[in-house]
Amino acid sequence: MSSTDELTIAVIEGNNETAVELTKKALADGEAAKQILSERLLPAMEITGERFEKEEIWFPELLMAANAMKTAVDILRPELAKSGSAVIGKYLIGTVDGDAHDIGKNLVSMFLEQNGWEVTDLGVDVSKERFCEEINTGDYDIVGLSAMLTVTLPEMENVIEGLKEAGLRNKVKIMIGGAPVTQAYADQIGADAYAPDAASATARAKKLLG
Amino acid sequence: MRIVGRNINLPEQIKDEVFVNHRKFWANTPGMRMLCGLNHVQEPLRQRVRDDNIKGAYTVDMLDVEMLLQEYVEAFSGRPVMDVDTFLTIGFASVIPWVEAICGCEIRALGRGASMVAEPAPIEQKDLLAHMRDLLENIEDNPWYKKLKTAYTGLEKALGADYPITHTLMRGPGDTAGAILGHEKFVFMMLKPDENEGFLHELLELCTQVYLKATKMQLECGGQFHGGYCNQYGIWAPGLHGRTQEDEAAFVSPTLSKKYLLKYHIEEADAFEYSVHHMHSGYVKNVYNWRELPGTSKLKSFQVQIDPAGPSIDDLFPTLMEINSLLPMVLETTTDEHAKIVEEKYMDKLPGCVLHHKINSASFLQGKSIDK
Repeated sequence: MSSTDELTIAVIEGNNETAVELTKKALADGEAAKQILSERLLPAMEITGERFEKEEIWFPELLMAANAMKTAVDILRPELAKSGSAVIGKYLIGTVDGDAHDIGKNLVSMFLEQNGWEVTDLGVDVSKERFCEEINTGDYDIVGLSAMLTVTLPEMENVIEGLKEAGLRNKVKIMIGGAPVTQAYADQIGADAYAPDAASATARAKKLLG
Repeated sequence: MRIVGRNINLPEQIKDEVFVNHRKFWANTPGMRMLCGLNHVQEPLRQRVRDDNIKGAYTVDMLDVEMLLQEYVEAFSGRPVMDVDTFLTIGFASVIPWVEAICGCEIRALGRGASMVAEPAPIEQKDLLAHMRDLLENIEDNPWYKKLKTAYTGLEKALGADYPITHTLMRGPGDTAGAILGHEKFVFMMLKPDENEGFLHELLELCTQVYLKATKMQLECGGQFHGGYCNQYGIWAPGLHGRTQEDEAAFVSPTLSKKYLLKYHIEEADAFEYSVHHMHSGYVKNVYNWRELPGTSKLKSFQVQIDPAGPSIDDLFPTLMEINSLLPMVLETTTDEHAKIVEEKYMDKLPGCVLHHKINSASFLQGKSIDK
């Protein structure tokens, strides 16, 4: 998959300034925000994801492309809201208690946002109580739990148990991910889905909503 | 370099056999197999962080070396000096990101995570190189360095007669530079060589020098052991050892890794007679320039930690074969499942000498020591 579109290429290359300039120009020329997003920006992330999987690009390039995409989408956001572009769903995400790693979580957040999710990021080192409080007061479809350390894995189970105790478990679907996380662990603790990387997280989140 | 020097009283038959076997490890003797990790001692500060749920900023003033030394004595006293085929070694408070702390990063404790992380140093980028040069010139006055030195002097006095003392976990130059600048900023700066190449190389060199000074200080204070030193995996060597690492390499391409990081790994490996380079299975297969180390440096061994959710051991096996055909390897498993697969399916097929560092996953996860 490749593209000759200048805006798509700017995002792939992680060129923030050009991406901003071309997004503004497209809007000024009367192109619909939804069309810019679906036909010029989202393909950029598809191509970037493919290249990352094939090891043609590496983590910094992936992150730079995601940043450029986010900057461009931020410009489109008011227009997307006006045109009533539907949000796919509401996603709450955070790194569990005792863990301060956030690179993977941030990347998942960016990919979700760019694919139409409304994301609330609670940050790192988030306690079970904080997750429960937010889920109780918010209207989330999916909760994403991230962990990088083997020793913080049990905190994922703690959050799920906390939600059960608070009667909130059935209110949300739960996805987990992070370096030490496996599908087997997701099954063991009763999570609804596991995503091995940021690119697959968006597809699995969409699938969870049915 | 002042050498304290201790000889632990070992039964004669153990002494001969162990030292012979450890020399065979460094010679990468074909087919030789060793095991360690079954006499695990939970590090006192790590346990305290977890059990007391210590969270937030962890400053140098909070580090009570005297109290911790007492806890080390309590944790180690009475334990056998052997951990299956290797020695039970003592390093001080590896939960602290020492190099990063010495360099000026802010340290944050993570409570139940039983760990600490380094956050970017509150130093303007324009002042950073001057700060690092000044640090190197006056490293004996650095408060974290001073406490580390006090700790190693104390460890040697308290336990050096019974156990070999090894240097604590010291991260690599890229890991440290990434912590100082912020990891995302660091890797982005590598992508703009016109603006940043000179600055980054100087910073990496200064981080390397801090690593070397602080590591050698620990080995000097910890003292010799039977005419040599033991590393973190309990392998004795008749010369200085250093454990090196560069997990930051996982963030960048092999090209960038070679351009920015490789030079400093060679410098670190060359500073010791017997060094071990730590890697993770998550990146060893595709990402890392480890292949360039054996031919260009004095590196003596690799350690590969099998990540629970990394590539399968089936996928990794050709890479492990390649590594072990070049140098002796410490293969670390952290789950019972991986330990079983390694032992039953692959251990006999690896060509060189392999030390299986088998961490008991249940005790590791619970932050507990194995009973004495």
